[in-house]
Amino acid sequence: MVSVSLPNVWSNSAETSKYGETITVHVKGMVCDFCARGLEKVFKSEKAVSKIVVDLDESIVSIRKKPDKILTDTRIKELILKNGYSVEKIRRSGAKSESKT
Amino acid sequence: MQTNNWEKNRLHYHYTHDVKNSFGMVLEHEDNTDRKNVNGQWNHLFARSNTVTSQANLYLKSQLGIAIKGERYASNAEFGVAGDWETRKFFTSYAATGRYANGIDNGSFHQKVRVGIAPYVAGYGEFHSWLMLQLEHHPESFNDDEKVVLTPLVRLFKGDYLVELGINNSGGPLLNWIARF
Repeated sequence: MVSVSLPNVWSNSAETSKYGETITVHVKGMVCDFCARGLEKVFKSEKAVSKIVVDLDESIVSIRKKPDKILTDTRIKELILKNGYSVEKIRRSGAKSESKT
Repeated sequence: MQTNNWEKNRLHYHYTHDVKNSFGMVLEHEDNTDRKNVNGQWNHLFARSNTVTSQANLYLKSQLGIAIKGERYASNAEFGVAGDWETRKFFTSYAATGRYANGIDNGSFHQKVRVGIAPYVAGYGEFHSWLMLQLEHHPESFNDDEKVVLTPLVRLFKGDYLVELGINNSGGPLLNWIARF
């Protein structure tokens, strides 16, 4: 799996504290645009999420979390699995460790 | 979802309850036999395999309802298995279906296979195009031309809307469209 550097606006620490943490989820099985629509809809309706970007080329879903909300890895995995995909790993901006499945 | 081809016109509305199960209604009219089917539908995702570059699925499909032909009404049942494997560049699927409507038919079986290739790999939200070849086998068909039907088609989609256009080896048109809500 190729690791992707997010645009500065998503990864800068000052921006992170202002706009909320960025979470990068590496997803397995996400090969169809038409099918990934459901994934976008589910995350957009999640209260802790302010923005989601789906990248089929890198098989990643980038999630911007609202600063005052909590979005656990467990919840992210639950939402991904609910849509029929598998989570390979989850990386958080500024985090020293990553969660692997 | 609407399907129009040489065999039938079909309207299918379904609700995806969860990733494993979808429930819906199917209304069909078969041109050649003037048969109508009104069925409830349950599709079940039996197995799925995800990799970074591919997805494979195995479905169990069922329909129960009423078949109408002329003055005759009969209970109608359809059961099938379907599988697919796809990457962002290649697609293949297979489906086998058996059906029985007491008093209207004595049971029949048909199978369908599809292969497809994307001439270019489009990103999320972009306009996607697929070139596909569909081969149908209807062994019990009375018309020899309809026992094996080959349909080249193009699948186009963007966002929540998908359309398929094709013409089979007998010149019969195919028009399918899907809208997601």
